[in-house]
Amino acid sequence: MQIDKVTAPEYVVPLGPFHPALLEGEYFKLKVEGEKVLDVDLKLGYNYRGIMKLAESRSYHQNIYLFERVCGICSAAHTTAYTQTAEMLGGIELPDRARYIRTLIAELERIHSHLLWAGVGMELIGFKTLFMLIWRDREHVLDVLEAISGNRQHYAMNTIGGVRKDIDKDMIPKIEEKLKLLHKATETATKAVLEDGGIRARTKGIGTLDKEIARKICVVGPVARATGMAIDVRKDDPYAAYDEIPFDIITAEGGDILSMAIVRLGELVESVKISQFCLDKLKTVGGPIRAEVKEFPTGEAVGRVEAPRGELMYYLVSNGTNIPERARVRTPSYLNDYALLFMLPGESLADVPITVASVDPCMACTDRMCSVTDHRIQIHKTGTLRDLSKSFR
Amino acid sequence: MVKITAIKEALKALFKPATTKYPHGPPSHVPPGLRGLPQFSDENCIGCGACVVCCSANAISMKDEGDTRTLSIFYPRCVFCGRCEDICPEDGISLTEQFELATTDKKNAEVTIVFKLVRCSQCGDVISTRKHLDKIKERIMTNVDATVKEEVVRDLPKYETLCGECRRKLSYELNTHTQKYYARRWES
Amino acid sequence: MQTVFDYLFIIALYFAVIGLAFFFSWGASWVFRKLSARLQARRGPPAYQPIADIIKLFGKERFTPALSNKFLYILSPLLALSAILILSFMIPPGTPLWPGPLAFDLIVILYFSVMFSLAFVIAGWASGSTWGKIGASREVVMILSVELPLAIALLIPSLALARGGFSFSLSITDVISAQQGTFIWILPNWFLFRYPLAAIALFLTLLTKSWMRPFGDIPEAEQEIFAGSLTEYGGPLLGIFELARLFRFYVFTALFVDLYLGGGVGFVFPFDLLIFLAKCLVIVILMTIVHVASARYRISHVFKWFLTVCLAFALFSLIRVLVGF
Ligand code: SF4
Ligand code: SF4
Repeated sequence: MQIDKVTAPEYVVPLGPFHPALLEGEYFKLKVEGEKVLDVDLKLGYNYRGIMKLAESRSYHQNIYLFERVCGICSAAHTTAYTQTAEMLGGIELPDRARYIRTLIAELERIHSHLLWAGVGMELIGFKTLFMLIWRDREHVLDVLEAISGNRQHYAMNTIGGVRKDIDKDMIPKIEEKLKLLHKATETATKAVLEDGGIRARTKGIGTLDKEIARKICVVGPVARATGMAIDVRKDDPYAAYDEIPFDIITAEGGDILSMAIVRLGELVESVKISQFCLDKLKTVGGPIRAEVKEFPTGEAVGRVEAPRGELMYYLVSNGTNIPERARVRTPSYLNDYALLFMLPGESLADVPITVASVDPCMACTDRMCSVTDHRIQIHKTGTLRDLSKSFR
Repeated sequence: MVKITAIKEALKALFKPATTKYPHGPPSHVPPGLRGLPQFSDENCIGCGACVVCCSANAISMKDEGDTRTLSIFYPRCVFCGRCEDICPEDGISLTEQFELATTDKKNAEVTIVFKLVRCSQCGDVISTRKHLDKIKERIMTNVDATVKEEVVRDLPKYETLCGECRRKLSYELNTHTQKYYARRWES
Repeated sequence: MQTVFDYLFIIALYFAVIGLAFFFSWGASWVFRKLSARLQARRGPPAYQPIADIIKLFGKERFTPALSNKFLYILSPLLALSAILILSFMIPPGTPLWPGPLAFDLIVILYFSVMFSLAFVIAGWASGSTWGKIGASREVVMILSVELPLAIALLIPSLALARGGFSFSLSITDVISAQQGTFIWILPNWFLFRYPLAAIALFLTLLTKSWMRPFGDIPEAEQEIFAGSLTEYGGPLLGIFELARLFRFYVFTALFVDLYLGGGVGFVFPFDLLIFLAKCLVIVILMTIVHVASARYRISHVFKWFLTVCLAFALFSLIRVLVGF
């Protein structure tokens, strides 16, 4: 008797828009055969909030708090990028102390974001315990941020021309204490993640992103560094106080999930060091924390920062009034999400969530444009929300 | 399959739960300087409406009805940025450390403060709140140049109850036009 | 002479043991949840939580998805519950005096444990959802890889009876009574010490069958496929499933304790029962720690692990039993 080769049926698995593995609304159309993913299609746009349009109707100062809410996790990165761009427009020089405070907040935020990522990653491969423990340790950095700024997530620290709150002298030792705890916590987390056989089995060689492809689709941030490209805006185009702070760019070879984890865990340690450096400087450097803002002359400016997820870019056009003519946000996830189209095919269905999470996607950041498909004639079209609502009524 | 660190950390956590029974117990800590619900200060706020303009989430609204002005913060809209606190000229609003703001009735989700309104005696337009005008008067009295103080004190009751528009229209009639000061200055 | 009263007595005994199984599972489930919460630096639920969850489900609306096979959709939870109830009174609560229903206990137990898992396969296929089907296919892979080492590890004690001077028997009560006395020095004469590798194999398979990581929760991996087979279930039908799953804390631990830890042998009633339950609790705690300290593997790893390492352990012990060293 001859047995024919048995092939599992091909079917389409909808991952999203609502799925326990995805923290935000997005839709992966997975063509699978058995458990193996053959093809992926990615659809975004479930979180469109029209922030850029809204920004064109608010004053520069109101926009700080609007852009802070583009992303809950990298809120300081967004305001840093925005205020930096606005400062370029207005030709404003930052006072020294403000530069250090900005850097400190940015690095603390990077720590919190990377720890969050590590926890979520652990949860997606079913390691609930490490998830809980990492998130418990993440509370330390949130406590620090809360003590400095008055809120755990939306710090509202940056303003055009400086920062809004000063860091007291007697608060610094407390922060240093917490930083020591964090340093220990990051080290144990790194050890726990790297030594565990189960985690290694789930992440090594999974979701590999080829370096050439990565270069071609322009991935940024930790994803790019995990494929061996040493790019980092903090070094390449220093902003705030990064030009005088010594730190290393962490890179790894391989481009798989494990190397992305190694890059992020390594950056945790670097970030703790940078924060310590800033605190040391804050002890000695005095002076104002806020420069005066006069006006925003007609013109345009581009600013970029290294957000926890990679290069974040802001573009502003001023028409001389107190309301920007145009604001454009280019978030890192916008580039990194599309790496998934190259990472997912060939993996098993069980690895899809962790692979998706490995690029640390932030979907809400990415949804900038409303795209509507007419399913009968297959036309993509974009337009303002108002026009779209008219035509689809 | 070495997972010593994970087990060690887990066992260390055995008797030290990091969570609290929060909704059923007190919160773990409320840091000083927490940015919570913005509150008007009955004493300091003068009802000038500067915070209404600058609020980054348009959470504060101002309503003039009859002879009262109501300023209200609709706090489901508020993003707790603290910009109102920054901008207020009189320390009239500040963020409290109150953060348990959930309510089942939308009507309760508001912080309001009511002022007595002054209307123009000529056309009935809104000038500002009584408190605001008093404050302005007080400022003028303390800051005014000593050389013109007498005249200002004399003129004030004339235009006190007029709106800006009417004041402009009636300035020659009432002899309150500022030109006279300039004229005097040119002479001297 | 057996009278009607003897039969009634036995039936009452069975019901008593189901009650015992229920209350033990409730407690063990709470210990499991509380301990894993504490190990994860959380506080954990109050003691009534496991049962409150199930009662809540029974209070909800019953529905059948439009795409499902209605008959099988309703049948499979009942199948799971009846399989696990039968299992729970077939396994003696630690005493050799248990009036076993059949002489082939172990074979029947094997059957019903497969049936219990099959109920989830049927549920997944009957519910008509993609996630249910993926869960069902994963469950099939689990059955294929787990049942073989499980069968061998279950049968080793009964095969070993002949070596220990007893007559060969498939009844668990005989296995329990064979574990009286001491093995070497002060070690009791448990099969755990005589065939440790088989005990490890059985522990791993039972761990997997009671949905504990590293392998057990693959068919219902929340982050990958929602709830797997049970994705489309809700209301009372899910409640029946959850009730059936609650009993796993008794059935699978009791099986291990009876076969490899000597049940409650060596004590008189009621102490044998207490000793037995204490041992079961220890096994639950051990399972919890393994569960908490591991990541979830992929389904391909299950195949690899159970059909190489686990099966090798079981087969090695089998050879030892048959050849006799
Ligand atoms: S005094 Fe301050 S709080 Fe009161 S209305 Fe003016 S700006 Fe707002
Ligand atoms: S805190 Fe910010 S959002 Fe809230 S009322 Fe004040 S300015 Fe508006």
